[in-house]
Amino acid sequence: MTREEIVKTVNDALMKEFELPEDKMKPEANFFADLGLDSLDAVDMVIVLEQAFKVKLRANYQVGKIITLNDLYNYIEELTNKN
Amino acid sequence: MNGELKEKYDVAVIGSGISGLTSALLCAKKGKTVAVFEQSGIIAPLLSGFSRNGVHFDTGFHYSGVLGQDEVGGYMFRQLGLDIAVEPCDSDGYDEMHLLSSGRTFKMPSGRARLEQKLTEFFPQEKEGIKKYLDLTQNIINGVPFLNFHKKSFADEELFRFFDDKKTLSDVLNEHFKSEELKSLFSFSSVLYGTPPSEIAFLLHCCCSGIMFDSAWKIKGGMKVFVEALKKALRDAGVEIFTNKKAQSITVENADLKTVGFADGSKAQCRICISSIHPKEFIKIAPQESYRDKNSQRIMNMRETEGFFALYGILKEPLQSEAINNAAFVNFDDFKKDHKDFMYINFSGSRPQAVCAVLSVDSDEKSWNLCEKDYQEKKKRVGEKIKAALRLNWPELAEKIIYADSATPRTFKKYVNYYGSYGIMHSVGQANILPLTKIPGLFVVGQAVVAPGLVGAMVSSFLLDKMMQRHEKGGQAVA
Repeated sequence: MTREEIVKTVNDALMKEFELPEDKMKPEANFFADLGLDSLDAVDMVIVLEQAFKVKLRANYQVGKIITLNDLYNYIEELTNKN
Repeated sequence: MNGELKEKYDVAVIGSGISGLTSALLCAKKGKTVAVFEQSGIIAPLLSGFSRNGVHFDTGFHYSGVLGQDEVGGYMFRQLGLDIAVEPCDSDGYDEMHLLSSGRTFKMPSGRARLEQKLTEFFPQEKEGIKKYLDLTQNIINGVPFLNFHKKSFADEELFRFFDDKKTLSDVLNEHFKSEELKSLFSFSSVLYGTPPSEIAFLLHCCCSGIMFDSAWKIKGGMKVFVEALKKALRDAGVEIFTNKKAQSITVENADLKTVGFADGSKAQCRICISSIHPKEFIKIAPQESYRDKNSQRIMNMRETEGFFALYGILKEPLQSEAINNAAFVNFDDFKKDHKDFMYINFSGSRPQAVCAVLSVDSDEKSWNLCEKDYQEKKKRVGEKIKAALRLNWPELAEKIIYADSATPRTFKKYVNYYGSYGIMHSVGQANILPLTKIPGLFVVGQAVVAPGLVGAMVSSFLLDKMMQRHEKGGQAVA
């Protein structure tokens, strides 16, 4: 998967699940402060991303370090390249 | 205690447990008008405890780490203007562990070096693991925002656990040790937050129990003194308190105006509303748009911590080991059994000594919401089980104790509205709840937000306060 595809898939999945407007989906956007998501939403975020990318996110401790959309793109890029 | 209800307050706090009162004090100190609404007849009903035959029994708090001057607990007491003296528990052995399988007694000493030395004497073959485990615990405690926010600055998203931490206490103990007895010894304190070792995140365990490796503290004079200090601070800060006032609804008129409706038909308006009641009770009275539907459902389905069955008694005369603070019976397979049916005993510092023997029990409503006859029978049966265990494992104590009363999860429910001793469980499979809702100015604090226990509940209020201040300065619409 290319970086662009990853970015598009992540953004589409999150915009749909959390009804987020496209103009908010900037790489530096912070889930908590900018996108208004909380830790309960994070559960659904993991679920929709796992469905979209067919990877397991939950077992990975790295997840705790993801704060911005860009962190998430990087993390998924790393995961999908590994597989 | 109830005065005249004003038409509008800057802040309305629902619930007068320790987190609600902490939030009330923090807001009042910034010049806001604050009212606290409590459904029961007294404030802080769990912390207040009760008296029998002239002896006071503490029900909500017995001992904790991090209450020293330079630690987060001491910092919070100072910030709130609470005039409270703390004293260290016996530094030679604040927890006296009766290791039933090997017939030894391990007294938990205060201080990293002494603890490491003593553990190594008892478990020489685990020397390396002990050092690594204590290092790991110390590193987590030194870095985690909620025990260090008074020393350094953290970003909003660092203050609260946005994602779950997946490593459990069981994972870490199995990685470090072979001895089941040692694993049981290190994990018995999971009863202090009501979540089994196989389900509690290791990080949370460090924050609730590991903090006692340095030193364990108690409040001088017990929680009666603590609650009096709270009341004085609330009076001084001009916080208005209303008891027998059960909140029934919260409606949002606009970002700056909310109305809290009460069971007696009265209403209070406020700009900011802070709920410190159990999150499941909050969902019932909060506007539907407080959370996405999925998340409201998620909260309603969250599991509760274990419950407590407590047997209270008075010592006719002191025990031989007079400085004793806390004791427990540990079987080598307790860790494997996730400390099910685990029992520990707390001794007060007062004379005559109040004793509280606690058995960890099921907190499911079905187990305790029984018809009166079945309930009384069950209460008697479990009480007898505890007495029999004391006679068997500790005859000296059994001979000296005069039983005064007992409390089941249903008794606790009467005062705090939930059966589980620490409310919602902080388990690895369950996301934690943040203080923010989707409605600006509507917040949640309490044990479910950061961590269970007195310190965890108070910290949730301090972290919310930090977040509110930042957003007020930044002009954002959070508060």
